[in-house]
Amino acid sequence: MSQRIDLSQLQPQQLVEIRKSTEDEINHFTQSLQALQTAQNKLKDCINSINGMQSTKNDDILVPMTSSLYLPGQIKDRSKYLVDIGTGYYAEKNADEAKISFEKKINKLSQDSTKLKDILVQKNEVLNNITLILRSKVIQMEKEQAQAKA
Amino acid sequence: MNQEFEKASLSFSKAQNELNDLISTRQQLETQYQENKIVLDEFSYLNEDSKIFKLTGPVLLPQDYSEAKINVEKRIEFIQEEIKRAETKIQGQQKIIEESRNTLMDIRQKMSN
Repeated sequence: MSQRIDLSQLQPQQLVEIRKSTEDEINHFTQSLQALQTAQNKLKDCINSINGMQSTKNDDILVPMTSSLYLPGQIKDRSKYLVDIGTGYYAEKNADEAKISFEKKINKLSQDSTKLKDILVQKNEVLNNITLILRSKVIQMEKEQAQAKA
Repeated sequence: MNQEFEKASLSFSKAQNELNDLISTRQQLETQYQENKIVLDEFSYLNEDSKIFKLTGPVLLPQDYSEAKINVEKRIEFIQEEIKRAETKIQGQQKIIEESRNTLMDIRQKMSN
């Protein structure tokens, strides 16, 4: 809040600089928000495939060897899943445990997204303020110049 | 005088670049720290009977629960040490920047006189 009071006291050049750094921050946060959403979608895909596994009786699958090469395979066990728990570790879990762990991660990510969105709203307000003050300063300067000429 | 000023301003921007490098190292460490904390948290939901694998290159190697947990705990300890070291370095660098800013100001004042 104290920041806003200070803004009108600043020189136009300083305001431009602050506006640039605020814009950079907004870009950074927007990127982070997108990354969070991509991560959430990936986790949702994981839950979907567990659900898919449980809903079909068909054991035939195609196993990806590379992104463009597949081999026919058969599912031996539908109750065991290897879940990536981070930094290269994988843990064996059953379907429900696996789903719970993915849901927990999704929840954590959506909490972070909400926080980020709040920050973004605030930053955008600050940016609007700066732009408004800057504009009024420019108008004032133009008036002064016109008066000086007259 | 001009040369002196140039030298001082060069060393000032060099010090600032070094600080930026240190700060990005600090940020990387923080990311690693958070990642490992999440893994450790996951371990608390598992037990001795859980089957755990570690991705080593392209293969998954089976690992002991307690061994894996100790590994992660060790790593967190190590990262915490690294964070401490990075922070003292950052503080030192900030002092250097402060000093070189002062010399820069001194020279500028002398030049204007």
